[in-house]
Amino acid sequence: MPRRFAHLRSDVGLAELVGHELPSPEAARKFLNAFHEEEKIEEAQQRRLPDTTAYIPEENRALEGLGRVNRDLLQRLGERCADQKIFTVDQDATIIESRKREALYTYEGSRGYQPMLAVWPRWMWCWPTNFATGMCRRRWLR
Amino acid sequence: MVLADEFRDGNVPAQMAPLTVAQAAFAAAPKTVTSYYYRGDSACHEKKLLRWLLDEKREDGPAGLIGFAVSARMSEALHAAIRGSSGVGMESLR
Repeated sequence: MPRRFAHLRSDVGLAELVGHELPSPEAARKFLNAFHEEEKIEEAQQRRLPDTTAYIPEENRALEGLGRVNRDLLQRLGERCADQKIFTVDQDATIIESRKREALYTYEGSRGYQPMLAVWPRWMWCWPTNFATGMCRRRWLR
Repeated sequence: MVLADEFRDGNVPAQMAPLTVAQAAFAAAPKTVTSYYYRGDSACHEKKLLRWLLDEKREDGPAGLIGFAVSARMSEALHAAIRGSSGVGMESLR
């Protein structure tokens, strides 16, 4: 991961696109580590039922904060697209393969992670009309 | 648009505790929406989640109807019920 951040950081065009310089690999590592809390993992391990190996740690304060940012963003987007009255949640778990030592085996036999995601698929209808008008394709607006 | 997520190790069964993510997703709904729907694959065929979706006075979620579609896990009982049904009103998707 640090190597990839160094590569991204060297991309001047990308920095111009996002509006600021990308963080150094060390700064990125520190930021991402803030979402990891060993105590939460130990608590989850202790809560496991007998004969089970899997566990889901609770979110720490940093992750809760990130969730609040996303919810606030959705509210602002909702205000901009007030005609969107139908809210559909599409929930699915997705396997992300990883070569990290800590990555565990999935049911498919590969090692990695399996985050659970909930998305709002219809949002695509709204998004380009408000944020990408100049490059919006007709089929997105149907 | 991502509404909610939960980072999980690879060995966590997809069917384990899906309600948490569903509740977080509905909590993120903009105040402007008026109709709620939910869809999930068979990993979402889980008792707590389905009861929560069915309960119009649900805790930690919007009150009222949530229309939902969840793939059922095939069981012997379900298989027998399908084989025993007349098939009237049913359409094969294969």
